Amino acid sequence: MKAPRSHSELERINMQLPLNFLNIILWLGITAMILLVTALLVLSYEGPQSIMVEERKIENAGILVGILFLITIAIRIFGLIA
Amino acid sequence: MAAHRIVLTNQQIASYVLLTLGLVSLLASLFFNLETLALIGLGLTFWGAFFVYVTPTKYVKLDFLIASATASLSNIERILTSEKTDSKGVYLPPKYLKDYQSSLVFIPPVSDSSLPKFERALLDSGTLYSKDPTGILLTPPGSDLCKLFEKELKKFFTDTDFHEVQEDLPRLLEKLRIAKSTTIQQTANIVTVEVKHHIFEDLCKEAIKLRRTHESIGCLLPSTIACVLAKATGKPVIIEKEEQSPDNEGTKITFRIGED
Repeated sequence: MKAPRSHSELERINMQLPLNFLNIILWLGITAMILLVTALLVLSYEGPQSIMVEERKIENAGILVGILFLITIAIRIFGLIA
Repeated sequence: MAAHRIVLTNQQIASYVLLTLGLVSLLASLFFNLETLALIGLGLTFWGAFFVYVTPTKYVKLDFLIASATASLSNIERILTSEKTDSKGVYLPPKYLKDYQSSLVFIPPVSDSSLPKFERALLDSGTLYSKDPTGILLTPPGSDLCKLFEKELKKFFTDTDFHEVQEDLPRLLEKLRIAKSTTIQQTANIVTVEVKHHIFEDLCKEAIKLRRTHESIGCLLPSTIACVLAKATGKPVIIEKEEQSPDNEGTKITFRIGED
């Protein structure tokens, strides 16, 4: 790994996020699962907490990421069919 | 112009560090065109932003709470002093109230060991003086905290009974980090509640200085528990005694449940 130094080298850099669509789908899926499972556990837990969080917001974030994941899946399926 | 100082909790600091590291990592991934760095950056940025989002912001220092609560207790003390009453306050059950979800404490003019007889007529929570029986009607200091407990539990205490309160209240006080442990025991018409390491200890010390209020209505936590018991049992409740527990680690409150 070597950082580009000269001006011409900088011009050649392709400033694009080095992630493909499948990476994004995988990341969204894993994150949605973590968030939804955490929301379920946190909402049913009634003991003392060492971290202060708003439980409903975890659930909302989980649902949002889950919907995004499903949208990306739908786009992928549509792309394969079309 | 006064300078505003933003005080961040450790949790918030950690969230912002995650967010910054994530953004740096994402930028670096663009610069070096590295997929691994992009995934790390995406993860860190997301979790950083997520923790900033889920961290509660509406928190006040306990000192502010004590300062604001003491004033209302002082007003109650002034009313009781002007009426020259030393009687124990009777926490009324919902059946005597116009608004079933509210709480009222009745203070008779003279100290009597027996509970006053109430007519089944609904008492108006807007009146300060009651004529039959004669006495003062006040909104207890724990009235709103009792409502907050109901909101947290997602049920009204009027729909529960003593045994349910015996299970729910200790769990709730622990969950809300109000107390480290709570035990509720009942012997005949006497209920003993022992609350260890609760956050209202300082407020109760302030309330002790207001002798009449402390004797008659109790400080915030005993008042709240009395409201809960009055609602759950449907009977009048009196705070008999409030003392330091034998191990000096909390407060022991004795309530007397009246008969209808």
